[in-house]
Amino acid sequence: MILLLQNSKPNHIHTDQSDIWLNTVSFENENILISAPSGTGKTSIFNILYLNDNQFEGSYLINGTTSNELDDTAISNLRTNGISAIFQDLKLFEELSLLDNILLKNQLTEHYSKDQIDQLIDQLGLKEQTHQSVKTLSHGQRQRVCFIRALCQPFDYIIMDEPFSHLDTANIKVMTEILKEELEYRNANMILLSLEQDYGLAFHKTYHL
Amino acid sequence: MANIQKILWSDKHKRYNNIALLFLIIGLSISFLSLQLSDYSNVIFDQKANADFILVGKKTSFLSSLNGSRNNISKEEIEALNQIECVEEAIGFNSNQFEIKANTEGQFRLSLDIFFESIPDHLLDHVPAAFKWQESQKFIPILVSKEILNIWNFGFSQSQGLPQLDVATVTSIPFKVTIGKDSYESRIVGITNRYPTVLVPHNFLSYANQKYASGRNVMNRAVIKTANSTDPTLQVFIKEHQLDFNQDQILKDKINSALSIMLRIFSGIGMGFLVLSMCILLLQLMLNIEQSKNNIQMLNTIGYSKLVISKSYMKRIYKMMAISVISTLAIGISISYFAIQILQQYLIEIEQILYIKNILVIIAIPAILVLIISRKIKTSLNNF
Repeated sequence: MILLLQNSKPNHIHTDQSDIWLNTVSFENENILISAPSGTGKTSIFNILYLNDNQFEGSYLINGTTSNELDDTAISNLRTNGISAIFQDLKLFEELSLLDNILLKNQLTEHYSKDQIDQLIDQLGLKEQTHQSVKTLSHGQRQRVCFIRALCQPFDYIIMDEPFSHLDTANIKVMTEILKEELEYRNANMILLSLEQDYGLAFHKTYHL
Repeated sequence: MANIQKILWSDKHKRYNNIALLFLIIGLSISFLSLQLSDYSNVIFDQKANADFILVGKKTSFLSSLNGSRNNISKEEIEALNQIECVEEAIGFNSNQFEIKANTEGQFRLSLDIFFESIPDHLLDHVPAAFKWQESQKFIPILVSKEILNIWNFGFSQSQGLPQLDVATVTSIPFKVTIGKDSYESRIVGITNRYPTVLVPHNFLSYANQKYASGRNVMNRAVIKTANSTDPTLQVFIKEHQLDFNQDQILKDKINSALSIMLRIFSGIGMGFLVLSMCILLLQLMLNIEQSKNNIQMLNTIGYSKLVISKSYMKRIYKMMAISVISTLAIGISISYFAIQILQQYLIEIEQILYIKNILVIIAIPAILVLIISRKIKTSLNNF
């Protein structure tokens, strides 16, 4: 999958010293780290790359197709087959339990079996909370739920916006190990949006916003 | 898809859904029963055959009985009848102005003085293929009314020691008709339920009156084709011109009109419930979508297309519509069956309990509602 940003910049960002904004940047089967301090537009680049935001300067092309040309169905297809995401605000449904939040995605893609999901929940130390409402979970636990949900689909790129921000070292290690295995198994790549850290993950390129 | 239903519908909206469903079932049931009862009333009042035709003749007075004078309907009166708004057509019967004798040969011999009347074919309820006559044709086809056949079977034949006749037998007996010195072959070719008389082709009677009565023709009575025999203008005319008519027909029409008005009101109430149900359903649906806006946007973000979300909403609507149709048919069929049982106690036979067209209407109404709701949901989701 090729993601190409051409002279892109969100309307509200004012900068002339960025590796990405107002430059031509191509992500092609590479692991990318986008590093930036708070307030420099990490979530903005996330929204552009994940097709959440269509109101920006320049253009964004996915496999040669401009983002403006994609309709709702095409975007949904990309979000279930091509690009997965871990959101900074997590986007979990508080009405549902931990398991139901994961199943909600998996029933759309039918990517994992129930046993595989149970195994991931167990690996990430959430077995006891499986049937608890996500309302009762800590932010760190929620981040892990969001991680499992992001894996419940085929993808070429997984875009992660501060996915480890509320996790302890042990949980980060488990999550990054699973991530490495999944990327290798799927022959996929990641784009990590982070303050400064690389969390021990290997990247082909690093960009600064 | 249970999870997505939990996200899209709140318990509060489920309650409103149930109210809308109840109103939908009530509305559909009332509409279905109105249609069913309307069809039953058509059968009971035999509307297709007789409702629009009334027979009128001049009243016979004591004086006319004494002096033997005849009260005939004039051409001017027929023209005046045709001017009345509710009258589709009024036309006088031709009647024979000469003597006619009929006699049979074979197993039972019979000789009778008979009469003929005629009206144009388009006013007949039933025109058999053999009911045709051409000049020089020596066969006269005849239509008789069921009443005349009944008079024969239950009156005349008993007193004369003659056999009773069914329709098949009576239409197979040939007989001879003698007018003046001329003799014609004849046979009853069919039965009319509309006119209590003996009918021959209109062109034959015109020809015969010309030939045997020097063209003399008087109209003893007329048939009025009208959509509303209870129309006040028509009633005033009938009274002013001292016309005699079948009161039963008018009474039947009055009852039918009253029943028809009641069924329309009943049907209107049904429509009211349907509209109310539709309003509740749409309002709470729009409110639900508005209140679930964040969830819908999140679903869209994790990969649920608006089409899939719309289908999830429609899944519940389809379920509601299926429940409403099944419940309506169950209620409607039970009440229809019960109504028929009651009618049978009054010796009114309704052969067809259910009418396919009514069932189709009951399926079509929810189908239309589904289309409207589906469009509304898509529009609302596209606004996000």
